[in-house]
Amino acid sequence: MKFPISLRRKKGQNGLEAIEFGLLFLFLIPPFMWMFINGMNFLRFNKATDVSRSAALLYIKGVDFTLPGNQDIIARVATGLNLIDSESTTAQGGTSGNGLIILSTIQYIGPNTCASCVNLNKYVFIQRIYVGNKNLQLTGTTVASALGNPASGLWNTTTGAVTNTQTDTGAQVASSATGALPTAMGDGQVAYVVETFFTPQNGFGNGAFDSTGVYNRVIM
Amino acid sequence: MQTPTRKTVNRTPSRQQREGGVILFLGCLCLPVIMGMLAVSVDLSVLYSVKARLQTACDGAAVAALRSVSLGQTIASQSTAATNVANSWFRANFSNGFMGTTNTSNPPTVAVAQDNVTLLTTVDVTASTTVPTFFMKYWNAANNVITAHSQASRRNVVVTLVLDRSGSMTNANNSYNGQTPCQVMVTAAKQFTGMFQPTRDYIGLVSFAGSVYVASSPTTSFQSTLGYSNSAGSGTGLLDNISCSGGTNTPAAISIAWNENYKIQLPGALNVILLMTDGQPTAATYKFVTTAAQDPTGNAQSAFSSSSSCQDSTGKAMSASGNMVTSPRNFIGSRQQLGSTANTINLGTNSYSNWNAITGPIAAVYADGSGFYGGWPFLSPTSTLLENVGLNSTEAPGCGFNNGSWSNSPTPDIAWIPPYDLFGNATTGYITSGYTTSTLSGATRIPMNSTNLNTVIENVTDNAANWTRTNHMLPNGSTVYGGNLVFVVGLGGNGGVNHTLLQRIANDPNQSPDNGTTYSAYTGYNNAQPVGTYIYSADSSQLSAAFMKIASQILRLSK
Repeated sequence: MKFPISLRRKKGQNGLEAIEFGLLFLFLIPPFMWMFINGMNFLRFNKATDVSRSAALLYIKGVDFTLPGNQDIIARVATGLNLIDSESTTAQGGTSGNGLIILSTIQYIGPNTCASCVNLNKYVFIQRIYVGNKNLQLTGTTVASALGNPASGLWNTTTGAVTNTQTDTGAQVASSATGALPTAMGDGQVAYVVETFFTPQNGFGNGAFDSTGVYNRVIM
Repeated sequence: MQTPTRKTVNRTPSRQQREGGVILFLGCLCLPVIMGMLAVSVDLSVLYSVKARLQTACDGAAVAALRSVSLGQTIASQSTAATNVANSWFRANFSNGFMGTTNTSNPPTVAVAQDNVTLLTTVDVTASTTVPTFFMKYWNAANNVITAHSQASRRNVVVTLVLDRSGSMTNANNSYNGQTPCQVMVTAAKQFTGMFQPTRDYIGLVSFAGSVYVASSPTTSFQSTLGYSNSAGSGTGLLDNISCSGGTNTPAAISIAWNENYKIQLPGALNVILLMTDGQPTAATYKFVTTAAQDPTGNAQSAFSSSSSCQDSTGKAMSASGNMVTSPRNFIGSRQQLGSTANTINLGTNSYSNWNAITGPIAAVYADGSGFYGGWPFLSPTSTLLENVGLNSTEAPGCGFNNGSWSNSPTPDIAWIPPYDLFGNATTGYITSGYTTSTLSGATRIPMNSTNLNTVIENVTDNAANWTRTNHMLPNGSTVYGGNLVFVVGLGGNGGVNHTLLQRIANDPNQSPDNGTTYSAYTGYNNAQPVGTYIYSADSSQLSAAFMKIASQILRLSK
């Protein structure tokens, strides 16, 4: 049989549990904090992986991410990560939010594609599309594609298409990035690359305790 | 036994002292459990992250492997190519040591399967990796093996390339990288074929100028036939033989291409026509005697003028006053490409029934600013001539276009444009103005002149495309052959293309990607038919990308 606590306590016991709990909690706070921070990071990392994978699967199936309606789809997939898609028909991306998705179509130019081009045996951009905040800052630096960017003069800001892919060096993928691309790309073959960047949001919530962002890359 | 009451609850000070620190003590006892739960959650999070990454890598590998089955001429070599590519893509997406993983599959298991009933090619990719645990190892679980599997599949496709080899394709002002548009088109078409799977997919080639040339019926050995195998051009394929000159007989080319797909009779496959053209259609193929069913008078009629002195190769008069309605003429001559029977067009086994064994008088007619001309409707596959060839004085004695050249003087022999072309495509259609009508041969007809011909050819082309997108029955009478998917590449810079017509041919409702600046949305598209894509290539430099984009779309749609 149990009795009301008030009946079991004596004066000297008042607050004893609180003190004990406080002492115990001193040991529990660090692991809980560590758990919380890493849990949030894991959450964002896994969410970013899912977003990248979803975007890549949609991209290779021909979804045109220059269209706001299709950008909305991927923004919904990224719910909670504050990916704000542009509300106009543009491949340039917007300037707000905590996420950026960069979609690139890459082609390998071999001798059968163009035997005497300046871009022979190079990876070149066929298309580049931005969804989200193109001014996103990660550790104080504006995020950028690991593949580099096509020269602005070759890039159609509306369709994302890159012109003169065989004859202009401005269409080349950054040489430092070619090691990250599949080694078995044959002459003329294409690869679809989706890169995602997500930074912590302001205020209490997802990422409130960490300062680093998440970068994810999927190649299909 | 004493019943506890308020009075009996009276603990001694010594007991109070003994109770001191009990929560701390219990908390410490629970700490391993709490920490264990935290540890498990951390390790499970890592496992989940690795699993997600591994799944993504398998997805990428499967999709890329499915694309790569084009790199092989046999099932065995395709499997080898698929495995190599899958491993490469897998490695690009799942780096060694990702989150401390070890023993990652190298290469992942790749299985390529072909199903001849469902016409599906399937690639399965399975990979595993060992994930170390950070805390669970203290509970005798140092590692966990994670496995992921992904499958990608697609239907076989039957594609006929319909390539414009008209004279404007040699426009030097539209060259790219030292190549004429014609040469750029050939290179782009080769790369296109390199995206598909030999032994499973079928690709054929129809080229056209004023006349139509079936270079190759759709075949599974298309890479070697057309000249591009395993991402390498042979230089000796049928695509390499294309040379460009002459008019633009788009409607006949579309009809013939559809028939080539129809002959394969794979209704479960994705049947596709890819049309590439750089200008307005300027030629069509007609039989100059109408059937009773097609003629507005209800009787067969000759389209030749009464005063024509035109004859066929046997010397029979073509004039309307002759008896050619009941005594067929052989205007097509003996050099027609299709079929071996003289004076009869045979489109081959399994052709659409109404199109086979067609007798003359038949000719392709071509209009330009100065008049209209007649020529061979088709070219011989055994001939080295790949240009338009006009009827000569032996095949068409007395006719205005009988010197064997399309550049002969305009013919005065034909009085009116038949209401249907050789393949039953109506001369009338969505273009309702820009041509004249007169009462001729007992009915309201469209007189034959270059202006009228140029105008109505657009209708004929539109109707030919509509036919290809419509369901028809296979010869067995019980199986529906679905409408073909039509893709169109329009090349600018050689005189201009008709965006509306090309949108209609593809049944593409979309406006141009530049927010409709180049062309507006096509609101009249038929949503009951396959919706294709029209891609405008402003100049030759964009042709390759346009072909690749269509190849990608076909491969996506076939999934």
